[in-house]
Amino acid sequence: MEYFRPIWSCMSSLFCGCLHCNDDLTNQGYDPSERTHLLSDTVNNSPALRRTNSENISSDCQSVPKKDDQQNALCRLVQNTAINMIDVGAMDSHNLEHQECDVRIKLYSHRLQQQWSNIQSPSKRVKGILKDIPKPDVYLTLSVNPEDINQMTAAIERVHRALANIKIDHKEAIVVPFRIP
Amino acid sequence: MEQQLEKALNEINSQPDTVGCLITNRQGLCLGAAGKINPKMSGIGMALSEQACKLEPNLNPPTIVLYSGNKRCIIQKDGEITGVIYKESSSN
Repeated sequence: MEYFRPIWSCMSSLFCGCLHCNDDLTNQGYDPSERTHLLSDTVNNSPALRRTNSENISSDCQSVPKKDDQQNALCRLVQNTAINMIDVGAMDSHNLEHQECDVRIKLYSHRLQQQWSNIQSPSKRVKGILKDIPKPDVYLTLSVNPEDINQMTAAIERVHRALANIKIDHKEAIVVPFRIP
Repeated sequence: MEQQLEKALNEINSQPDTVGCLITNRQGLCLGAAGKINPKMSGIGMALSEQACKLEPNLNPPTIVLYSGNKRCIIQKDGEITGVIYKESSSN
C-alpha cells in the first residue's frame, strides 16, 4: 500500500493544487448517490454536444465550455475518492511491533500446519494387511533363503537319527507287583 | 539316553546366525531345546506347522519362515516331529 501514497499525493496536487481547489469541498453538502452525476452538468458540457452547439450556433456564448466547472467537478471526484478510499497501509496492523509480528507469524503458521495436517491425515492413513509393518516392501521382496531350508532339512534329519538312538535300558522289573496283603 | 539329541541340537545351534532351536513332538511337547529359545514355544511352532500343512495336504509339509526385523523363525514339520530354528542376521 505504501506505493499508493505518492501516486495519490501526486494526483491530489495535480488536480487540486494547481486548480485552486478548496479543501472544504466535502463540507458543501455534496451527498453522492447512484443517481448523482459524476460531472454535474454533463449534458451541456459533453464534448459531443459542445461540438454540435458550436457548429450550429457559433456565436452562442452559452455553449462555450466552462473550464472552471469541469475542474471543480474533477476536483470533487478526486476528493470523494479520497474520502471513500480505505488506506490499509495506515491501519493498525502496519504499526505492529516487530516482536508482535513474529508472534503472529508463528500463530498463523501453526494454525496453517494444523489445518494442513487435518487435510492430509485421511490420505496418509495406510491401508492393507501389512499396515503395521514399518517397511513392508522390504519383507515382500524377501525370498526364503535356501540356506535356511537346507539347514532345517539337515537338522531334522539329524534329530531323527538322534531320536532313533534313544533307548530305554530298563534295569528293574517293568511290572511291579503290588504287595497287597 | 538323550545325549545324542542334545548334541545334535547344540550342533544346530552353533551354525552361523543361529540363536536358538528346539524340537517338538506331535503333541507340541518340547523334546529338546538349545540356545536362546523359550521351550514353551514348542506348542505354537507345532500348531503353526499343522495349520500350514492343511493348505496343501497332499504335498510335503511346507517350511514356514517368519520375518521380524533382522530376525527370522524357521518352522518345519517332518513326520512326528517339528523343528523350530531362530536366526538373527547381523546385516539387513
